[in-house]
This record gives sequence, structure tokens and C-alpha cells, in this order.
Amino acid sequence: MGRYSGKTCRLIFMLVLTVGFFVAELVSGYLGNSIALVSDSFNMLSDLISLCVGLSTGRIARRSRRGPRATYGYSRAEAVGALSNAVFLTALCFTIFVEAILRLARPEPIDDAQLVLIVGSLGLAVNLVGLLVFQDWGSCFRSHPPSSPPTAPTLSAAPGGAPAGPVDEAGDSPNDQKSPEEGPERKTERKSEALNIRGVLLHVMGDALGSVVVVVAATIFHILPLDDAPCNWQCYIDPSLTIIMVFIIMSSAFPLIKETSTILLQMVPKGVNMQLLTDRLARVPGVTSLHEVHVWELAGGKNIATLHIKCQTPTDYQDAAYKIRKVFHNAGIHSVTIQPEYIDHKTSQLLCSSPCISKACDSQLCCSQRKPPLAKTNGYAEKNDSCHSALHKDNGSSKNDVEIPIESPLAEDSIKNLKNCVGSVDKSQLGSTRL
Amino acid sequence: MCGGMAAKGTGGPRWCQNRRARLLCMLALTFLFFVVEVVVSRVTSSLAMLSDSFHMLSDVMALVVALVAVRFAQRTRATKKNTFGWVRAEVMGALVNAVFLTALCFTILLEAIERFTEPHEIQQPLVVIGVGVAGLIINLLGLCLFNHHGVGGHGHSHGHGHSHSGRHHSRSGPKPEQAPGDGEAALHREETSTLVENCSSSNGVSQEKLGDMKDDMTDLQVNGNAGHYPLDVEEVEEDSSAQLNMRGVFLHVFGDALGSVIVVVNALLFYGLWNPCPRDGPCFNPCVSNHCTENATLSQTLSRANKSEQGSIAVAGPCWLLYLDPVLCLIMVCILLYTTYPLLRESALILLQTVPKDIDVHSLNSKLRTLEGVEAVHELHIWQLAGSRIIGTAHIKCPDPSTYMMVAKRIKEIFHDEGIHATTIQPEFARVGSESGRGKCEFPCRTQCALKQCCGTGEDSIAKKTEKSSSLSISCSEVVIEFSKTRRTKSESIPSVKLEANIDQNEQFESSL
Repeated sequence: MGRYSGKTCRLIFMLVLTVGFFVAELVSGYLGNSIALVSDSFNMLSDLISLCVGLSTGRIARRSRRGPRATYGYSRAEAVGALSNAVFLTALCFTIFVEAILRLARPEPIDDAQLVLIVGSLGLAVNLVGLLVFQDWGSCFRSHPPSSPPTAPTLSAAPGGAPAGPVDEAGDSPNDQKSPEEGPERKTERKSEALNIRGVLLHVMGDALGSVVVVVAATIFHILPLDDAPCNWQCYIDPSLTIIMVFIIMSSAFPLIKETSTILLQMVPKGVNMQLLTDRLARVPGVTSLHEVHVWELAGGKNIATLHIKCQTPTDYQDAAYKIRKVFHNAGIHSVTIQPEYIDHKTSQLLCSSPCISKACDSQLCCSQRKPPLAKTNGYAEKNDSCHSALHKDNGSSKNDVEIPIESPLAEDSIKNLKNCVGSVDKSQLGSTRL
Repeated sequence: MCGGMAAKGTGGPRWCQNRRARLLCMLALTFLFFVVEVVVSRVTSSLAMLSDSFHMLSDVMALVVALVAVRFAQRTRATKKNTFGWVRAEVMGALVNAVFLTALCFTILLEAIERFTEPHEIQQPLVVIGVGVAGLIINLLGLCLFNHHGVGGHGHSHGHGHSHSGRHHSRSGPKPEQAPGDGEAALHREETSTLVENCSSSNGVSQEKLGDMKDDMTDLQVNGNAGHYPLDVEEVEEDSSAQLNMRGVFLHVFGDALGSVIVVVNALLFYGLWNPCPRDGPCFNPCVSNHCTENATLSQTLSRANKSEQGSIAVAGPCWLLYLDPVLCLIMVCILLYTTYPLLRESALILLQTVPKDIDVHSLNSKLRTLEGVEAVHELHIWQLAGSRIIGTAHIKCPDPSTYMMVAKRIKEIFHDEGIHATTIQPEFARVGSESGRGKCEFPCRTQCALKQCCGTGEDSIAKKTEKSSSLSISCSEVVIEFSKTRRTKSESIPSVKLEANIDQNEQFESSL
């Protein structure tokens, strides 16, 4: 712990410095009547807020213990924090954009160019110091040369996850012990931390750009003072540069939003080809069909999958389970939950035999059972009439749907079938259940 | 357009209950008003009005976000890109709107602070009053449109209102009776119409290329279903995720309405009480302190006052009026933040994959464990996809397959009683059946990929196992990695892997033989 107090001090120093500078910039922005300086000061405040959000979510995510309130821990916090930062930045850019347009409509000169120039360049210096602080932090945190995450476009985000580390208990990085195969996994884990820090760095970058605009505009006014002349081209420099800056920031915020959306919307993670995956899974011997295949990313490269497979016997299932996991492992998905269902000729191969105890729960299933998505059979194609008969049964059951026992003919069938399966592998009994 | 999403033939004007239609109408109104405000501000060259019009523009953006979310969320089918369909989109839309609103509050706060230091007079208060009132009317209209989704409200539910609230407030207990109501009613019209659309055309949304055979299957099944579904839906039961989305929009409109109220009140008071400086003649404005000109005007007016014995210098009206605007803005910001915070929290909790509020994982776990035939429960995960769709996964350890089959239904029932209807239960068997040759590491991912597993291989506080659980004994010779040093990183809960030559087979809980 001792060796991290220095980092914490630096963080606090950074925060204090930014706050002080925000106030200074705000005051001089109003005194000097420079919209760029005012917006830059707001940027600095938004920097602070985004820093707080980013660090706190990083901390929450790192401390994520699985608990009764969150069975996966809070590792998603980083994605949510990154999204919040990106949206916050978008909203701020929107207001800055609006103000710049208003300025274009009614241009005003910068009054006290010298003051603005001084404060603006100091602000730029503060921004650069901030960047360096993050940078330095990052390289000190890792004991071995960091392989900077490949997904940080804006700045060299080597401090992926670094700032939150020292203030946390995760003293020694697990990096040190890793076997070679952990290398790429560590990298992808860093990716999620990078996601979080990217949100903060986006703000810092926007801030730095703002400072650059301020310095440029103030320099021009300093060199060519207007005194009391009406506004000429000089007055348009400030707002137009600001608009350009807004576009630059937006273009770098957008990829961040896309990436966080991939995680938060439960999309299939990049790099996983569902088509290929389901093909391979369907070809595993012992699997008659599979359905309800779900693959999603929890956070930072941790992919989770669930699926239901239909097989003939429990032995089939046990054989297939290992191979299925292997297929997933090769696809980069390491947490898999497989639900076996045993063949029941009453239902379509593609429908779930035991979705829930009542057909009426269908709307609350994650995916409606009436249109099984991504289900695949292995081998033969189902006959049309069996499909319709299955559907017909659905129809019947959905109408009278109060009591549980009556209502789940499928589940009961499958249970009966399971019993049949266990006792003997006599397939002839499978079709002879009730209904 | 407005009726496009409504189920055909259900009778009555559905457009007013249709989320998308409402959003579109509000969007059109707001955008129109924004344009009007911009034009008026140009005509009257009032900068304040122009800046106020951009608040309307932010409203427009919020509505656009909500619309996009609604459109996405209607695609509930699984696709290749998203195996859950896009139902999460509305929750995300709600979060984006909430954060957007917070950021706007932040900028309004800064503007208010700016006004404190440099108070402005309102020029042409009459025009401002006029436009302000018009804006207020539009906002009130919007509030009415989205009112049902206000803070804590729930959507339309004709005749099944109790079941709707029942679904929210009582997860256990009378579930079976309410399930049918929900079952019928909670079928989204959108889902239904998606079905209808699927019948007619295999569009890209629903019919991703899942393989030729599968396409045929889907087509057939969809066709089979469409026959008896769409017209069963009598009413629109809005899912809670849709409510979240609408709440975000409602809060935006609410904030805008508050803003309009402030504008109108301020302008009215200004019009009534303010004594403006007359154009000509000496005037001293004590409120606007412009340090450059202050001394000049002061000396000027004083000199003139000395000249004219009357001493009636026009003094610009009561100064406190100028500070009314920022004060009201501050109050408005506080109100908005207070009402936005719950929405932010709720949508963030869903996105964080937390357990829904009304489900107690501990009791669920104990219920499962006390079942006969269940030896252990682990990897129990419950999370909310969106709205009422709650998903659960668990690994159940049973002595042998036949025992499992006996309890499988009970397990599902237990989940069902908690309101979790989409479950994936993985049975694991302690005793090796006939396949004794298989080693302990059934799963390629048990150790090497520990970091990449959702929860590591360690034990969490939820799953109280009957066996010792903090270490994973492996007998495979392949596994050589030692993680002992990483015990300190608690967050990863990486277990220490010990190589042991002989292991008690029954202790192994992860084998799925």
C-alpha cells in the first residue's frame, strides 16, 4: 500500500489543479469576453466530472465481488461509465456547438487578448500535465512493458486501467505470473479497462483541443488587435475553430459509443461468428439439435454462452458436453451453461422442451419459444407436419393456461421421456407418452 | 405511419396508445416550434430567445434517441448479431436520455452562474412572453402524451391493470393466476406485428441467414403461428423497459416545461415591474456593473444631477429582478436532477446485469439446495434482460441423471415462482458412470481461461457448496499453471490450482460425467 500513496497524491493533485484552473479560466473568460475560454473552462469541469465517473466506475468494477445483488459482480460498470462519459461529452459538445453558432451569428471580439492568451496557454499546459500524469501512471503500474491495447485510437492509452489500480487493493498485477497463454487474455481484459479510461481520455483530449483553439484565437487578437474597430474576419476565427473542434471530438466519441453499445445491448461479441459456431456445435456427435443459443459479452473479453441441446440419452449428453465446451473454448467463450433436453417426438426438434413450466410465460422468456431463433438440427430436416402438429399443440395449450400441472404437456412429456431414457435405451417408448 | 405499428383490426384509434406514434407527433411539434423560435429570434434579434430555442432542440434529440430505441426494441427476434434480439435498446435509450439530461442540467447550472455574475435585462419582454407561452403549451401537451410514463407510472392496461402492477410488485404468490393475464396481454403488439411482417416477407431483420434448412423451418413455424396470434392481443401492456424509455422522454419534456415556466414568469415579472432605462436621458443602472463605463456614467449623471436641481435620475428598475432568472434556474436544475436520478439508477442497474430488486438470490439458492436430489448449486446467475424478461442460469449437481430428471421440473417451478422464466439449467453428476477414463478437467476452460470466465472458477458468496470449495483440484497432467500468487487479487477470484496426484473423486464438483 505504501508505494501507492504517491499515486493517490498525484491523483488528488491533478484533481485540485484542474479545479483551480477551472475557476481561473472561467473568471478570465468572462473578463476577457472569450467564448473559447469559457467553453474551455467548462471543458475542464467536465473533465473533472468524467474523471470522477471513470475512476469510480473502474473502482467499482475492480472490486466486483459477486453478491446477492449482482451475480456477475459489477464488471459491467466500466462499460456503463464509458457510455455515460461519452454521452456527457456529446451533450457538452452540443451546447458548445450551439454557443459557437450563436457567436457566428453575432460575432464579438476578444477584449483582453493578453489575459486570455496567458490563461489559455496555462490551461493547455495543465492539460498536457494531466495527460502525462495518466501516461506515467500507466507505465509505472505495469511491471513489464505494457502492450498497449490496440483499441485506443485517440491517444496512446497505455494507462489502460492504470489510474484506478493504485488506489485499489489490487496491488500486484496478476500480469506477473501469467503463462504465455494469458498474454492475449490479459490484453483483452485491458481492453475493458481501456474502455473506461478512453471515456476519460476523450474528455481530456477535447479539453486540450479547446485550449489550442483558445491560444490560437487569442494570439491572433494579440498580434492584430482590433481596439474599437468593428468585427472583421478575426472575430470568426474563434467560433469556427470551435466548431471544427466539436466535430473532431464527436468523431472520436462515436467509436467509443459503439463499442460500449456492443456490450450493453448483449450483442454477440466481435470476433465470434454465430453462424460458424452453431454449425460446429450442431455437428458435435450426440447433439440432435440445439436451440436458445445465446452468446454475449459480460465485459472486457469475458464471453458467456448458454444453450439448450437435445440429445437422445444422458450418455450422449455427457459425451457431447465436453466437446461442446471445446468448440466454445476455441471460439473464445469460456463460460458456458448447457441444458440438456431429451428427445421428445411430440415437439419440433427446434422448440425447447422445457422452456418454463407454463406456456403462458412465453412473453417473459428472453426469446419467445414460438419462434426459436438460431436453432439448428443436426442432420435430417424436419417434416412439415410435425412442425404443424407441434404448433397445434402450442395453440391448444395456450388457451387454457391457468394451472401449472395441466399446462405443461411438453415438460411432462420430456420428463417422462427422460425417465424412459434412463431405464432403457428403448427408443420405442419415447413416442408412447400421453397426449 | 401512426397506425403502422398497431395490430390491424383491433379496433379503435390505436395511434394514441402507440409509443412510436406519440414520439413522432411530439417530435414533429417540437421541431416545428424550434424553427418558429429561431425565426422569431432573428426577427426580433433577441439572442436570449435563440439560445432558448436550442433547449427545444435538445428535446428533439432526446425524442430521436427514444424513437431509435423503440424501433430497435421492437426487433425482439434473435439475430446473428444479437442473440437476444434488441430488447435492451430501450433501457439503453433511457440511460442515454438520463445522462443527456444530467449534462444539460450541468450546462444550465453554468449558465445560471454566468447570469449571476453578469445579469442581463430581458429585451422585449412581450415577445418573450408570447413565445414562452407557446412553448409551455407544447410542453404541456407533451407531458400529457407521456404522462402515463411519468415517474413511477405504468402504461395503459385495459382491464388487466392489476395484473400489470401485480407483475411488478408481487413476484411470488399469485403468479399462476396472473400469468395467463400477462401471458396474453404482455405479448407485445410489436412482437405480434413482427410475426405478421415475417409472414409476408422474409426481411432481413428477422430472417437472418441461419441456414437454408432453418429458414424453411422458421418460415413454416412463423406462418403457423401467425394464424392464431395477432388478434388475441386486446390491449397494449407496456413492458417496463418501454416505460423506462418513455420516462426518459417525459423527464426531458418536463425539464423543458419547467424552463418555459421560468421564462414566462420571469418575462411577466419583468414586464410588470421593471423600469427600463429610457433611451434618451441620463440613466443609471446600478444592477449591471460594467466596470469600464461605470465610473463614466456615474460621473456623468452626477454632473448632470448637479446641473438640474430636480435630481430625478432614471434608475433602472429593481435589481433583484435580474437575479430572479438564475435563481429560478437553479431551482429547476435541482428539481430535474432529483427526478432524473431514479431513472438513471434503474437503467444503470439493469445494464449492470444486477439481480432485479424483487428477487432474493439467497432464498432461491436455499430453495434449490433443499430439493431432494440436489447436492449443490453453483454458478447461479440471475439477471434482467429488459422489462419482465429475467434470465437465470445455474449448475445443479445431482448424484446421477435419473435423480436429475426427477427434480428438473421442480427446479423450473422454483424459478418460475420467482418470476424467472428463461432458465438454463446444467446438470452435473458427481459419480462417474461408465466413463471412468475421463479426467477431472472436463472443461477445457477450467483453468487456463480462468481470467476469461465470467466469474472465475472460485466460489462466490452465493453458492454455498456442500463440499469444500475454494480450491480446484485437478488431476490432469496438462494443467500446470500455478495461480497461488494471484490470491491477492480478490476481484478476479482466481483460485489456486494445486496439482494433486490422487483426488477423491467425489470431491470434484465440476465434472459433468
